[in-house]
Amino acid sequence: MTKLRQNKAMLAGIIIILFFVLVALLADLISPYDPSTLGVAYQKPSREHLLGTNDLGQDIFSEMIYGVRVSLFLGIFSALIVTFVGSVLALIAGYYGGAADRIVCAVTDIAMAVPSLPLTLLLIAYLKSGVFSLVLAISITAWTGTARILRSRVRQICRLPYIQIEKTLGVKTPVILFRHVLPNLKDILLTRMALSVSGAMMTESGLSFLGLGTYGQKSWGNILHFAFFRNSILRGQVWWYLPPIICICIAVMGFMLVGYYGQQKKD
Amino acid sequence: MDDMRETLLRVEDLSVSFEGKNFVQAVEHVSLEVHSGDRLCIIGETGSGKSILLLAILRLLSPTAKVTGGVSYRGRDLFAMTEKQLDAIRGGRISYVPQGSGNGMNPLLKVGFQVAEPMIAHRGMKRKAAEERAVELLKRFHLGREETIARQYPFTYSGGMRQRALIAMGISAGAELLFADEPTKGLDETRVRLTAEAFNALEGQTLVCVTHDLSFARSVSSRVCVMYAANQVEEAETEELFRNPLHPYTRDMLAAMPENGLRFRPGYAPAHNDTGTAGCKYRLRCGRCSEKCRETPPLFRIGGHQVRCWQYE
Amino acid sequence: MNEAILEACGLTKRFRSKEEGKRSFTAVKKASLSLFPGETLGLLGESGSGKSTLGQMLVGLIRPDEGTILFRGQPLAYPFKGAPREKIQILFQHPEVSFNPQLTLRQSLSEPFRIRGLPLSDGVLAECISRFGLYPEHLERRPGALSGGELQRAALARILVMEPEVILLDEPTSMLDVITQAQIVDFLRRYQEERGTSYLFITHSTSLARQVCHRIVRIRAGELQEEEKELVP
Repeated sequence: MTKLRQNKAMLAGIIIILFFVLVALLADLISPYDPSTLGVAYQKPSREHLLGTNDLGQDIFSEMIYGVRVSLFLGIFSALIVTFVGSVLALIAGYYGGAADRIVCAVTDIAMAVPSLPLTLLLIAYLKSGVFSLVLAISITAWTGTARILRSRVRQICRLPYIQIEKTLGVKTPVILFRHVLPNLKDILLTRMALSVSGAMMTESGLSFLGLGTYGQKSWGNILHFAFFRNSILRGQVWWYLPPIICICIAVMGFMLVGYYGQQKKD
Repeated sequence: MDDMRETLLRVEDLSVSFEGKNFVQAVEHVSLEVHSGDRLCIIGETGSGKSILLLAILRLLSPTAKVTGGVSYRGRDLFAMTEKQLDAIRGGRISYVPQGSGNGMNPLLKVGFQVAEPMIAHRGMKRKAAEERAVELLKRFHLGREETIARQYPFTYSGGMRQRALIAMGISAGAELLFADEPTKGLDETRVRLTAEAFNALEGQTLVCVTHDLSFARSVSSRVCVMYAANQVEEAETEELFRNPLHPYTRDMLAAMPENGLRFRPGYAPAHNDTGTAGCKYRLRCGRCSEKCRETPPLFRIGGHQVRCWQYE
Repeated sequence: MNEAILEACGLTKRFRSKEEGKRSFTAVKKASLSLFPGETLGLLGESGSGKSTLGQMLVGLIRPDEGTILFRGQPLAYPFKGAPREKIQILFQHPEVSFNPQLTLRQSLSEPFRIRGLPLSDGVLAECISRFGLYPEHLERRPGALSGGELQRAALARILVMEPEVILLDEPTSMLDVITQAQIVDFLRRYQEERGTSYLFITHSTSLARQVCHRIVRIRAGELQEEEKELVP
């Protein structure tokens, strides 16, 4: 804990993340309205509706609160998949080397060269719309960075005497990988994971803004989508389009702070 | 001892400890005197505090270390200086070759330029002249193909070459006092010999070198200071120390050298945080200790030796 | 003389070199040697001479490009399995990276017991390290809190649990002070007398090799030289 205190940037990131997680968990208690209840449309902020209402008369403040759930869930779930795929490939490539390494590197290079936005859009268009296809679309190219970075770290670790000794002792490969290699990657895994969450949240809000996000479930990007396409900017409804932008920025920043500064805490 | 030469460095009663969860006494009451032209080797095993001593003298320790005692360079108190004054001395007059040949160099700059840099920074030389001088310096250390390799980057060098290039870098600005920390760690026999030759090529250079390699210490130094468990246990002229070691630890250490048949006394050095071993730290391993050894002996002067053992009272 | 326990026949290893064009670099060229039970064979060479590469091939960490390794007369397939895997062990030069930094000494030391299915208890572990001057309190520490000498003794204790017949000692004392070096060498010597273990002792130090080895082979630029008889009394 003393280390955390020394690292103010990371602490700030953790506080931001905890705040949003708490809001997501307690959404039912905090939000004043059910965001799907219809009411009087286009109300200005008032004591009843802190951020006014949207085109269908739904309370924007409540929408924002429930939006945390969808945005965080999508972000974290995609990041888990990205980190999992990335680290499995990195372990295989880094530990076995040789042909396995060359194959993984080639696949990573190809995946990196594919323009990710068109591919993501294409996937969304083809897949049945829903949370899981969104997660798939977000993760489809995002794992490359994680795989790359982890692979070189795994290679380094595998050259160290203690892994070599495990091998000569006859310890089984899965045990070496999961007990001896993986735990020594935990710092870098944490930071990559945090950066993946922020990346995924950005992609999700972008997709939702374009109207390709989750229908029915309201994420921040989704709110922004409706705000934009119902001309809130022209109408000067700041309370409608600004909150989702701010929240996305802060949440993404929270994960980035943890991601970038998490690595520095070692020194 | 009456010595007409100038005293360059005087270390008085220097102690270093690290406080916190684990208290560690790293250096305990060390006093040293380095005259102009001296080549002092500080020897001892890993954890004996020799590297910490060097860093403490140069004020390169982290602020968590508690340092007491005094260090003066040509009569000027190093501990009282501001960072700025200190920087003018470190690098210019005193230079330091760190441990581990890997990290001492910037991987993105050509070696020739790195060796030349101190001359540009501290002596105001023109870049071209300084780089020519750098090649000469590399030649003195027999790196081979000096003109070519001066234009190469550190990664193309072997560990031994990098080590010698680092020494060249250390002396390039004409520092009168050169500190080196474990310059032979991880090098093989031939490369240790080349490094020793590099040091010996610096005639008249004042040198303070920390090492755990006894043969290397013997080949480069004029005086040796032996450290054991944070204490300075013996100091003498090199040949005298190797021929006639007085402190039991020095004797045991010399007997354990492969050349002398790898004989040894059982037991291990006490842990850093072991405050239970009062008195002489070598007491528990020493073959000839008495009741008196429960008290820390002072440094006795005997026949050109300084030795911390009650036998010589 | 009885049969060799470990034999190398024409071992060759090439590495692709990235710096100097596309030419590959031959680290070890057609190396053949035999290690007999109960002897210490010194492999003397400078850094970059290929001595560690040869050693790592012999313990099955690197797959040779050419040549075969025989253990008790049987050719070994890579990766090693069964008895050869248990009975050929290695001790490295750098004790500080010979243990997983995340695990305590207890966790690391338990591993070979588990692999061999031996009973494991506090007493067994304490006995395992007590011969090396380590105490039960050391068991709870992580490698970062132990000195190089302590770690190297623990590393030795750990591989001895496997009751190896061949131990490859890759400069096991070059990072240690002379007294710890003498202690480790002495322990290895006594262990050899007791068990008849064979050592392949890799070193760059002629004076050490002369003290420790029964036979000495020099390796230069990946090629084994004639056995040096005059070095050994």
